[in-house]
Amino acid sequence: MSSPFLVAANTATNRVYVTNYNANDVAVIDGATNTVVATVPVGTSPGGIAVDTSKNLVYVANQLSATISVINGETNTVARTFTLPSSASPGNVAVDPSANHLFVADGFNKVVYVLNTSTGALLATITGGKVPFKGPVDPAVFQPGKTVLISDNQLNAVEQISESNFAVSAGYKGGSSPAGVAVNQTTHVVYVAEEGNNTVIAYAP
Amino acid sequence: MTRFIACIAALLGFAGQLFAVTATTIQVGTVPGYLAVNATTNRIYVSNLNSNNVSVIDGSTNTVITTVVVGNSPSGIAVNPTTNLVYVVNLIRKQRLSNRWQLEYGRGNHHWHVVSVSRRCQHSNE
Repeated sequence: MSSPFLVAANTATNRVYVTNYNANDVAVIDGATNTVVATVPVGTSPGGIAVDTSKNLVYVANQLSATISVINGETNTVARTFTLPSSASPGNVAVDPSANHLFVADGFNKVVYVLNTSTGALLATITGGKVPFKGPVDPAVFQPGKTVLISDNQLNAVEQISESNFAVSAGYKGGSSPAGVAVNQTTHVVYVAEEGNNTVIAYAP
Repeated sequence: MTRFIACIAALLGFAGQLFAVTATTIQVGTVPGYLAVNATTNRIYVSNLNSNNVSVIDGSTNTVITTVVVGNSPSGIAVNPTTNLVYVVNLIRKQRLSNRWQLEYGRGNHHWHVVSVSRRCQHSNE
């Protein structure tokens, strides 16, 4: 997996957020001028990042401090810090505002955490479906309020997580070290970056 | 850059495949790590970690329509559909911007520029 040094955009406010893995902060860029307007200190080794545009909140996974920093996009300060199990090594994250869920991939512990975005409560620690996770990488909201996808670069599969009971079911198989997952919510096509064979697979419904 | 490779029709109810889908395989750069979708323009941007470029896919044809050279080791990528700007994090600094991480952005396929992102909050445009 590449170094988790990532970026997310808030289309409503035209702000772009970049995690500085080695500096333990998040750079806030004004998309109108493309300049850094603030730097927000977070936890240790921030990587995964996701924006809730509707609430103007930014969720940052601090890999080495096993926490999630919640940045208020209006004040550029950390409003809340959610605590994960002390052994956690949080990686990529996805937020589903319609379900108040934050999905956190932990490839080191081979689990996906689900947090309540309002309270920070740990709702579930998902270990997989019929076949346990071996290397969950990148969660992505598939059907808002209903399902989330998670790539697993060791299982060579993208699996589906129910947002009602957090059960894992089969999704797409046949890739080679799938990494990034993205969904076009207009066309409902799912795109998976396959690091192992230098391809992107587009799954059309 | 090789553009289009293969199209595979996955069968409904195919063993282990939950969804009824058509899977199209698109050849991109080397070690594609992350993607971003602009649903407004139906363009998909893929960061290729080891080939230092971004593949731009037309979602209506599932082909790579252009490849944009960016900085070293592009990783995280995001798009703002409203402004049609694409942001790409380059993990390894360029020499002329030493000691600074940097973020590139581009409108559509052209005019890519650099914002550096460092712990000192320095920034510059290229």
